[in-house]
Amino acid sequence: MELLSDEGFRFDGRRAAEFRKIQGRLGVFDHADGSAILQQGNTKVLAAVFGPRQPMASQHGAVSQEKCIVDVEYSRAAFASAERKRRARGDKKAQEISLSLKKTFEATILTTLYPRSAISIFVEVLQADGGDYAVCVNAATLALIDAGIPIRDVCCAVSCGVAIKDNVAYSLLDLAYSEESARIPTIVATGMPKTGEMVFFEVESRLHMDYFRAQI
Amino acid sequence: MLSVEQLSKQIADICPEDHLKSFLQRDVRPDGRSLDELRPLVLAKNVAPTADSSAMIRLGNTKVICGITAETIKPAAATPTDGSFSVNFEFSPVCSPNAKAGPPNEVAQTMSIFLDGILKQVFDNNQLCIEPDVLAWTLFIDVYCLEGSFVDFFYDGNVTDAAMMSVISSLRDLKLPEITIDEETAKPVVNVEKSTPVSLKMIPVSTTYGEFSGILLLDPTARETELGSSPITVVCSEKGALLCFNRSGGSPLSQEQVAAAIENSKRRSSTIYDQYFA
Repeated sequence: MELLSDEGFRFDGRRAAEFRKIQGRLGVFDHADGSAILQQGNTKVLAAVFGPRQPMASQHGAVSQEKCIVDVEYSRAAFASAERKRRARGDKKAQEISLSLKKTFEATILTTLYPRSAISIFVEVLQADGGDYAVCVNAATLALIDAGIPIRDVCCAVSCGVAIKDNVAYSLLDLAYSEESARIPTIVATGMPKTGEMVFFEVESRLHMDYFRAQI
Repeated sequence: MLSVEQLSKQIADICPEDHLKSFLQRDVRPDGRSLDELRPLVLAKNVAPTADSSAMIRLGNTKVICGITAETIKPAAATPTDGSFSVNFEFSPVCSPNAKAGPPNEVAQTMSIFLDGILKQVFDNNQLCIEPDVLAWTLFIDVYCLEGSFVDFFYDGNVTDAAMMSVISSLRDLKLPEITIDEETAKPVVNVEKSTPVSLKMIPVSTTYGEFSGILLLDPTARETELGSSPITVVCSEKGALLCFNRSGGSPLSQEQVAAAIENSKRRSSTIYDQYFA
């Protein structure tokens, strides 16, 4: 499958730096303090935020006098991807994603405002068509805004792939599943637009340093 | 100065039983419903296009989503002309602040077994057979509760009825593509152009009652279930066949109450059938 045609179009008709259609809604759940549903193209993610509230008994060890605990749980519906994947809750991949999300939001939320409390963020992927980590971050940020929890800045994430055509590197933003499976070098980056800070950065393939600088 | 609503909420928190009793004495419930009135029910189809069929039910605030994925397997040696299905119910982490990673808890597993038991009565595995002893369909039915007023591991807000309906709705929408085994290559050939729906022997509809001091409350909310003793679940088909009567423990019921509950459920089953599945 050709990632970028000669005219500069991707497989779904987008340009290289074009995002998929974004649709979202805040306040979809009544019982959560904040909630949001976000859909980027065909990737649909639900996020719910509970807190600040009293930490659970199991979190006693982590309770801090200076800041609040941020607890993130990532989950994925079995029918979310084109191939049904039944993963036991709490498997390695989910834990790894939960941990990266936790670190991202620990840096974003003004935790020093709520000592001895806990904020829980839960994310459920209903449909996965590429870029699910990025959409999770965006959905969770929206849910935090809906909950009214003070954050340093809006946290935005995007997945970006590098397609090399005629020795020129093009960045393909907001990858779809078929583009992700093409095994091109991918970067997932989370940043804060106003301050210009990068919170999270992950590269999972070989990428020449020259192209890397261009991507940033 | 507190508004009536705020005052009512505070009383509900401080002395919940008296609060509920004072409403029931006037034949009405705290949310304004009568004793046998349902909360608004919304059915949305094909909510998860990645699944082969899906449905989401909203019953008041309770939200349950079901997705069915069909795959092919070699039939078991003991039953060469049967396919299979498996039901998996889980509470999604977004549903509760106390969610923990790990295998589904007892309540979720009980629900899976309940749904599985009902489906066994209404779904014939024979229709899933493609070629005896060679290939058959297996259906993975995944049900997730997205919002169910999950209170300390005792689910509520009548997740049972919503879950049952989401499964039935997804099954009704499921279409399986035709597969023939090529005689020469012995490989399956899929014809996506031609797909047939699966058939159910009857349409089960689940009706749950909360029970509080001997009074039955149809479609109980979280609080009503929590305050009362154990709820009753009756599953009836649209033609009035009784498929399941479930009551685990709780205060004793009179025979009249049991009969009334079953009669009510039969009526409700045919109403739901006419409205959504006819």
